[in-house]
Amino acid sequence: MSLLASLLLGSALGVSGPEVLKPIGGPPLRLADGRLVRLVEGEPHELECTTTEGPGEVYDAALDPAGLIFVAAENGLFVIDGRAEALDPIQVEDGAPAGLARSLHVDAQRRLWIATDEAVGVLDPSFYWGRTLGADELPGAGPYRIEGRPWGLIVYGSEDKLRYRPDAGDAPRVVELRVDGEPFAPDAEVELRRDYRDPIRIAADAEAPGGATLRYRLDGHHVWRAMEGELVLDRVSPGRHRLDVVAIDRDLNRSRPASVALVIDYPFYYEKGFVLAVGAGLGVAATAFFLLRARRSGRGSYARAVVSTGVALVIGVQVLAGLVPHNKAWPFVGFSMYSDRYKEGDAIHKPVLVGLGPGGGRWTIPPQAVGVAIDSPWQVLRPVIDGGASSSRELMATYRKRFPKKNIVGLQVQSERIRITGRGPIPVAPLVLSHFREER
Amino acid sequence: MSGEGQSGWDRYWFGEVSLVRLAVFRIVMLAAALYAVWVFRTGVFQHADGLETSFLARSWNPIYVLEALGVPPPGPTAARVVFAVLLGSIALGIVGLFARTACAVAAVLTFYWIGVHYSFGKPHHDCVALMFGLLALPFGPVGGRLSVDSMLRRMRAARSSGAGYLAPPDAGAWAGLPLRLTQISAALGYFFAGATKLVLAGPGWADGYTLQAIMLEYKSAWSGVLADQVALCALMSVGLLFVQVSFPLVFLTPLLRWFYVPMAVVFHLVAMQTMATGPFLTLWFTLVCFIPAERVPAWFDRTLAGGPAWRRIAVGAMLVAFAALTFDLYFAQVPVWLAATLVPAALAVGLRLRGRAPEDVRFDPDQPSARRAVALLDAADWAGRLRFVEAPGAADGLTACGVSGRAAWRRAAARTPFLLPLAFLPLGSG
Repeated sequence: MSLLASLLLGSALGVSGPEVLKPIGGPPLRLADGRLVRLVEGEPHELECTTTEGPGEVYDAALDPAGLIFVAAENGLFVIDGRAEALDPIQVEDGAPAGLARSLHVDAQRRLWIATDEAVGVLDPSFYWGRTLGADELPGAGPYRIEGRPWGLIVYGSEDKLRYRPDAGDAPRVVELRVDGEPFAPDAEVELRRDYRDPIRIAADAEAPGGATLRYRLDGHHVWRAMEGELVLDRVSPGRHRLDVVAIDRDLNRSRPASVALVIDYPFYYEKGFVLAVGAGLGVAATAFFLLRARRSGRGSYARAVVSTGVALVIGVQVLAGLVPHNKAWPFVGFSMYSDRYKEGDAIHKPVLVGLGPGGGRWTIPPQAVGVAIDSPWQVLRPVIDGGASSSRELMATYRKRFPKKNIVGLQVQSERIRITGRGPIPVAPLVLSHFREER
Repeated sequence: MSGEGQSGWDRYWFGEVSLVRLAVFRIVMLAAALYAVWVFRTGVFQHADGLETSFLARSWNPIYVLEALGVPPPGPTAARVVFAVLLGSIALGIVGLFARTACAVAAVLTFYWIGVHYSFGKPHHDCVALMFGLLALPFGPVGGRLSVDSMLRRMRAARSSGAGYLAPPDAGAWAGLPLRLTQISAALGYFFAGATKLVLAGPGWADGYTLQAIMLEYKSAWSGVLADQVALCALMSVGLLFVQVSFPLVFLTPLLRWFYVPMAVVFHLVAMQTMATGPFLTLWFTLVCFIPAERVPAWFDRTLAGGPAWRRIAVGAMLVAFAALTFDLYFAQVPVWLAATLVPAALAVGLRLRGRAPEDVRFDPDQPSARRAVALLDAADWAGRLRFVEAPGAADGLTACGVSGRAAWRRAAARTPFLLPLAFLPLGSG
């Protein structure tokens, strides 16, 4: 049991013992005899699980300041929160420590520390990628166990222990960025022009305590993807893009991004001149056809021939747009909505902005509530995720102006999730993509 | 223009079609344009005014047409001027004053307004058929019926005692062009919406899990009830794909419109209530292109004024529910003053469409004021509720419903759907 959870619980509930966890906005959970149960009016209730085999024996659980509870169990890592009815397995992206997780700790920076039979590592609890500490940094052989402390954590090995203080040393940094072999300084304002058919090869060097790993994103996407070795971007869509690369240290600290603007040329058939020439050619041909037809039959008119051309082109381009959808060609846009396919076991994600009140209150804030017109909630959510505390404060200030009676003390960006199972849809714990709460 | 001697293509696009059908289409399309323009105003004005820049993660990424023409986003003044002219042109187009010009201006400015909104974000599908329909409107004789233009034209003819102030034209050449282009645009939209699901996701799209997932992701009022049942979702998926992919069959025979048009409305309603798509009200309105509006009064007569009571009650209840829902969705977005104006007018139109025997209006053709009154009444008598009889020497120039003069005018005007609000004006008095 992590110390943080114990400290939070005991005071919040007035219950003794380290085995009870109090999630935000829901009844407490108790871990005893390898079972995690929910206490409803003091009575234990079994938790459901979205996998058929369930979690198995539960070894440890840790409370996240954002309200999630992470669970280390016989069948892997699981997550639940105060409102979800079922434990849901965590699908780790990359960098997690190998072996069976035995103990957990979430620190004040929302890092999920994990000790397994074989290794110790840390996961980003928003996106579930992480780093594993090097074997030379660990106290002898495993199995390992961790305990949180205000200054860091104590890692216990089978024979020895280690006081581990995260965030020591220099901040990570990208030293050099290379695009197709050409090197650039990380803070250079670079704009590169490429043909859409040519793959773009990205590489970078970075420095960080414990060794740096690299992650990247395209066009400000909220997910930073792993960049192992050389990254090859193939068939990037025409237009202007921005590629960001960051270095990550062993404690998941992130460097300032090294960025490059990529201008991908449109293929010739999207060029203005080509489109106009083809359009004009088709127009002239169609007009000639209709005029000739009218003249032969002796009952036509120039106006009808010209309008017939327009009608034929409008319908023809609509069919073309249906075959090759491209929404910037509006109103010739094609229709490719809802064409993804879901299967049993998939999770449905819904990004939402959540206001936090004092005493565990929370409510969903429609992005329009802060007074902006949107096409997608990401327009409002992404700056909050990227901008950290300052963006959250700014948005909360706007919200307070518009809703002075609402006592908002914090802000979260969540990806609410529902798992589709053979037993029907089951709401599970959300991903908390950003969490900010004002200091009291 | 007669259809004789024309090719199939010419008959289809330029042949004669009911002017009342086109007029109703004009009014509904411009009402839909007003809805879209009003809904998008917040986004356009916010960018024009540069408000809340820290939260406006949208940048100017113009649609191709605006990019090719080098049209920039409007500044604060330009946005307001465009908005005012746009609202003015829509209003003129709806009442049919300078109808063709008004429709042309409304179409171009609506394209610009929606295009600007989409250029700051992501283009959507709901205004596609609306846009093609609006752009095609000025090519048809849009002011031929149910318009101030047609009334003025006939009033002028009546004043000069020329012919043509009675018996307004029923049909006009080119009147089908806007209707048919809109029909084809809507049908292509539905077809490709279904076809892309089948091509990109395969027939497995209809196994129920995908629709269940979409409903859960875009949770709405009915999602909880429907999304719990995978088998029901599978059934709905098959139905949805069938209606979308087979929608072009609507052109095979007019009878199929009785299936596809209601199914399209049901589809949008269910999508709104389960997938948070919004009402797609503009597309919903656009479907009026499939309705022969000139036959609606006779259909009302047959269905609501005659036949078994259970049918009258059932059809009446359905129509009232549909109208109430449409009004509710429409007026949730547009301003209250517009609702206060249009709802009574629409109610009056609906009530005047009830089946009744035509009322004789006897008039003195030698009196200019009587001719003008009759011209106005006849132009507005879409439902055929009045029958005009020349009666030289008629009392006060005009008699109807057992009274004469101004009273006759009022009684007769109150029988037409569109003149009810004007029934108390002194027009047509002896």
